[in-house]
Amino acid sequence: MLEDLVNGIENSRLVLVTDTADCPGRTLFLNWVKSLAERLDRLILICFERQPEFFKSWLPLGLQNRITFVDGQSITCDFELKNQDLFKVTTAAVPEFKGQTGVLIDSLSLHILFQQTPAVCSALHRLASDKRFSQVVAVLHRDVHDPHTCSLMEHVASSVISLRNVHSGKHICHVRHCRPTGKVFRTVESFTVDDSFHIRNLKPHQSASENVTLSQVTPEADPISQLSFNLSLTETEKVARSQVKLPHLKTGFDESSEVDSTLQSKIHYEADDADDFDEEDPDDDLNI
Amino acid sequence: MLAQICQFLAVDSSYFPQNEHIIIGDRSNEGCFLVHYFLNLCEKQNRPVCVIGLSQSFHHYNTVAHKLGTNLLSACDENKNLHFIEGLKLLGGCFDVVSTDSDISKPFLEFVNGISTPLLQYIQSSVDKLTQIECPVDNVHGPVVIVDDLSVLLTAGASAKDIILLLNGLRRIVSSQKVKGSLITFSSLEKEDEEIEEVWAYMSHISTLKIEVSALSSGFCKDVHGQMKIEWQDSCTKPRKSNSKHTQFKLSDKSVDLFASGMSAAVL
Repeated sequence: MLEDLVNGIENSRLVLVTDTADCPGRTLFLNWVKSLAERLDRLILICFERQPEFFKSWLPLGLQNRITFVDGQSITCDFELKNQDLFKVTTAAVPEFKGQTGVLIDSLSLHILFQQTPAVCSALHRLASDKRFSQVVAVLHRDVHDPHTCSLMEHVASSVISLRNVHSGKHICHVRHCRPTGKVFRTVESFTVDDSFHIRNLKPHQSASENVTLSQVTPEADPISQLSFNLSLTETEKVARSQVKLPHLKTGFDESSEVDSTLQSKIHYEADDADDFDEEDPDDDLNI
Repeated sequence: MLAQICQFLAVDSSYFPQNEHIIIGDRSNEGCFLVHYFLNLCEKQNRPVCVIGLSQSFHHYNTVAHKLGTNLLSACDENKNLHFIEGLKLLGGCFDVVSTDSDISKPFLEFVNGISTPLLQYIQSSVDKLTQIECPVDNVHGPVVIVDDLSVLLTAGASAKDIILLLNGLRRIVSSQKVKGSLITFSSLEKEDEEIEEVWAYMSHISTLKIEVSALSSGFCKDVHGQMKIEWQDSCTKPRKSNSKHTQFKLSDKSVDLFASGMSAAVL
């Protein structure tokens, strides 16, 4: 799931990466910047924590030209700018929008300290629902804020990547992704970081205790295998099943399927041949 | 002391710190030797230094510096490469009704009242004066700003939010294109103080080198005075592999002995 989110295979309007000082999310964020810069036409990167040089030193020169850097530190130092919300700061950064644009915020923590949390949530929601922006990605430090603030921020995000710990070079994270259809995925995944700070080996994580439990299970006779008919699904069948769009789920944000609420609805009924259609007015005897 | 700590940090004593934001958290009341180490290191390099002394007076730093072989008084008056802001005295002046230094104390008074801009401007002017001094060792050596101790501001009545804003402003001053210096902040981490822990957590995210000093969990020992953990993080200008190290130490009159856990003289 995490790999799909980073590579844009899974669509998510607002991604929140939450971390702690022991398990920082900056490397994941860097990779996300690179992936978005490769996919989108333009990026707006608001730097609250590190200077633009930090990102420029790592990103290829060709991708740097697509990024508009906004100095977040100056926003917090300037009294007038300090009261501006993220939406105004972001839209002011780019004079005109052409093509797909992404918004990246290297840390929301400083901004939350100077603005009310609901105001930050509101600004993020406005950014995420604005059609000019394809995706918004932000980092939040869980250990700087109280749990209530963190849960508010997580509530507004469509995907939350919560970095938990680093164990022998493996970064373990909990992913909660809500598809536009409303389907929610929860996974625990791990990744490693190579010497050039690229994330590698993204895969589902199994804790050591789970591995031990699995290995200790004695190979008992599987009752399903003894059946005369097939009850289990193959991997391809499982994938096909997950892609079936159920009738009670929303169909996503496909613009062509959107219904114009200003038009009046009408019911067209085509009578069946077998219908016993009565042409007389059923209210004729009421003398209306 | 210089050589031992530099060896432990695995840095070149002639160039360190360069464009770094170092934070020192002290949970044991023994960690202030690191402030003197950094001050001594910068003086040995003839580097411009601005010290914001909030926990001790200039006299204290000068006495310790004498023991370590440097003279802060001449650095202030003759070489002009040290600017000492008597934070403790000025902060005390804010609460003194009969104080004659009310104008000088004003930036600190306003900071305690939640306005950080005057104090930042005051520090900025000191750093600007230092940047005009040419460093004889190497031009790449920017000035160093040392804050000792940040938790005093909390005790004086400033909020955690104001301190974070001050830190942010200091980072901005130090990392500007004109200055390109380093920032070293020392902070006492009292037990069960939520506000300082909030500031410390924020500092941990923005720092490039985190040093945490704590007492031994097993209790007092006359041969081991505490333990120190360092953690290198992303630098200000480029990503860096996270690397952490742990050591125990014993303080003596003029120096500090660093040794691996369980390898003190008492054990060996």
